[in-house]
Amino acid sequence: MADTKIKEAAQRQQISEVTVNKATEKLDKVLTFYIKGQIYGVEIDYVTEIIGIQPFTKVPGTPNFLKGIINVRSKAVPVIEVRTRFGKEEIAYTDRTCIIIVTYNDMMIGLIVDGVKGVHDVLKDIVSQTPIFDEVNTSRYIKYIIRENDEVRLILDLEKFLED
Amino acid sequence: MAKIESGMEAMLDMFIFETNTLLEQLDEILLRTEQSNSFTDEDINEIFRIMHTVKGSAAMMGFENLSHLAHKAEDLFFIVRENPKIISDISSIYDLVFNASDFFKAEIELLQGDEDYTPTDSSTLISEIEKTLAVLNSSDDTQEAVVNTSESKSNISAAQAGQMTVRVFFEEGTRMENLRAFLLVNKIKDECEFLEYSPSDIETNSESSKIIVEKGFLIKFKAFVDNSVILKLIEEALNVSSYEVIDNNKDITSADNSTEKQENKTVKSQIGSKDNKKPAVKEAVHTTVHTKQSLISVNLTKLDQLHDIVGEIITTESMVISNPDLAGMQLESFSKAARQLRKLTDELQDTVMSIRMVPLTGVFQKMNRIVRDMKIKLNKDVNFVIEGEQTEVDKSIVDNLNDPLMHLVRNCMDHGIESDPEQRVRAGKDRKGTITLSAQSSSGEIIIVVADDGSGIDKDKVLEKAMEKDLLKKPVEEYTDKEIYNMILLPGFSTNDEVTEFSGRGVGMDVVKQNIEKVGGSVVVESHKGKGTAFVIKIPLTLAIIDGMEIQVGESIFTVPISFIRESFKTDESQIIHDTRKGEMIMIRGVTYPILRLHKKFNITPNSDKIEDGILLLIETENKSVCVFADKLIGEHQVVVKPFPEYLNRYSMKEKGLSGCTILGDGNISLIIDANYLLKA
Repeated sequence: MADTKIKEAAQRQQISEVTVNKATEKLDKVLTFYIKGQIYGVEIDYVTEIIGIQPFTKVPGTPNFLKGIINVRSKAVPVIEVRTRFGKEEIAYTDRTCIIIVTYNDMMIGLIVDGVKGVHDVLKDIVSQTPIFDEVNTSRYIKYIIRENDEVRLILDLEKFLED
Repeated sequence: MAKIESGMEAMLDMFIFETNTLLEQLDEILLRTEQSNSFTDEDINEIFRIMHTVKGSAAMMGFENLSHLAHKAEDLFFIVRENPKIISDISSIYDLVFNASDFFKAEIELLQGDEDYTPTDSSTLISEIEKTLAVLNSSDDTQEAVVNTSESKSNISAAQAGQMTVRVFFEEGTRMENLRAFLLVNKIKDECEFLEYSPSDIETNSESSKIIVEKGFLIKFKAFVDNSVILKLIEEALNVSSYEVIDNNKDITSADNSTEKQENKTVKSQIGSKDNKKPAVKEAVHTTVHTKQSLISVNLTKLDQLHDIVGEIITTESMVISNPDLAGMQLESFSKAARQLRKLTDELQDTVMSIRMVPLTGVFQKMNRIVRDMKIKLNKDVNFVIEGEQTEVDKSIVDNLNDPLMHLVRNCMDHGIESDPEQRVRAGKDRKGTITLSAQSSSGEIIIVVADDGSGIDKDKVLEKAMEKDLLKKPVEEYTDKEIYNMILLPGFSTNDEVTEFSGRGVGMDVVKQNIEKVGGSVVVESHKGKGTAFVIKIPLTLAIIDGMEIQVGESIFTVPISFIRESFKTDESQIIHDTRKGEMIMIRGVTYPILRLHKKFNITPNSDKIEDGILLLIETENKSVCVFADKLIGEHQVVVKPFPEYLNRYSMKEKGLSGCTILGDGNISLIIDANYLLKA
């Protein structure tokens, strides 16, 4: 008896939560990072870990944004410099530069970013699907855009980013 | 249609695995018995067990076509069990059972496929078996009648069948013969289904020893398995000087009465003079006793995981032991412990490697089956010899060997062995052809040879065909024998004018080459006109761990498998020969080799591009050699080969001459050079 009562209470609470949050429905969480001053993000489900810059082994015959492979817990992981991938100029790595390891389609891939900002909730009312145009064609790798407190976050479409 | 009932998926894997194992066993028994042309009770019971299990589990999984077929096959063997002689008369039974076994295998393959499974109709096969059953049943009746009339007169009644009476004599002056006899009885008791002895009061009556000394100790027994086992036990027993086997029919008392007479008639089998009998006994034991090993089956992915972890441990171990933080420190007990650790990890690695090693027996046995079928279809009499089937190879390699070997054996059967035995006799060979399949391991490589003693490859015909297909790249006269023979491995090449069931499309040999190269091996054809052809396959023992030489080019470190390196040396500019197209060459002992600069090939900035600052490595593959220029040698290591991350596959690393990567002791990654592709590109 007691059990069912608790369940019922829990259910009621869930329902009320959903009604309350309808306007600000939680879609996902994103990990945001900087590339040349602009804030980008990647859905947190893809992210495995964040590690510091490591020496990488160059692989001949690959495009210049593919910096090489690194050893992550005895696994060879390719790393992509997001800056170069977007066609922006390369800069020297700083102590804020780091590698975000994402797992996409069971493949582990490292993304070199200028620095990590933090983790944010994605709320429905602040998501806009319209692409913005900046000087390079980065917009085709963007899934959606979040505006919050005058801050614009561009969320990466990993599939296009990696497969194109 | 749904593949199987829901909730059964988990059982499916088990079913497939179990049935496959059983079918392999079945094939093996069938081939063995067909060759020796006789069934032992053990064999038939084993076949029964197999069929029954297949039937049961197929019914449980709801595969009615399979369970029906298994049931019919069981019926077939029921008759065989009743009258073991019948099967040797009718080879069609063998064909039927093999067909049934093939049907099962095909169905299981279908089940394993991704496509939705629809059961294949087994009714034609079943009706075929039924027909044979009908024939057998009728002939069985008549034969049984014949057997009854002939046997009832002369021989053993059913109850006494298999009983044996033995008179045992103990060594002279042994003393307490009654107790010796009692010990002997105890010894054989466990093996006997039936046991009687005389005198019977040996345990209690010490007087009985006198009788034993005078008349011998009589034992009448029937063994569970084989009477020869008991004889062997008696023979080995303490103080037994000799024993004799008395006519099976007489019971103990009658034998006892006629002791005097019998002694003259039956030849005493003295222990010393038993030599002629011994091998026979041994042989009988040998065929029936199968060595029972305790085995478990493990999912291969788990083994791969284990293997990965061990690889990581080895890398981590060298990271700890050669840690830069420890440099220059005096750490006596640390290095002692480190040595111990290294010893253990080496052992661990060997053990894990050995777990993945499986003997070639399974693959080789399957060839037996192919030869058998083709013998009948092509009407060629062929002796199939298997050697070194116990040789062990990594499981992943074995899986890739099946197809190539099958094609090679088929090729030998079809092309190699002459179809006219007279032709063989004229050439001074035995009428019966021989195909040999042998394996041996030598220094990290397995060498598998498929050879026939047929007519050999006709060079002119090969050249003619090659010309026809426009495969020649240089004037005919410049081709060596070796090159000509190896032409038959090219895709689309066949000297057969007609496409037959077995060959002619020129696909088979290409499959051989592709599959063998996939596991890092090579195929070479050797042939002597009139004497036969041999396909020599060389494959690495394992794919996972290689001996590698680390070389540095600029900032990058590459690993070259040691097996490709012939030598390394320094040289200077004066030795270099330049050709007109800015190519560089070097002459070593009268042979010129092209020089391949790795930094150019891989687009790396070298420390120095002066030939005297770097080092040259002479790299040799099956048919090409080249001198590779690198900055310096770092050292030789055992490395764990890892495939490239999947993401890099789109850049076709293999074609660039890189086969994988490995993690070095310091945690850095080195790329492994694939010499075969490096030289090709």
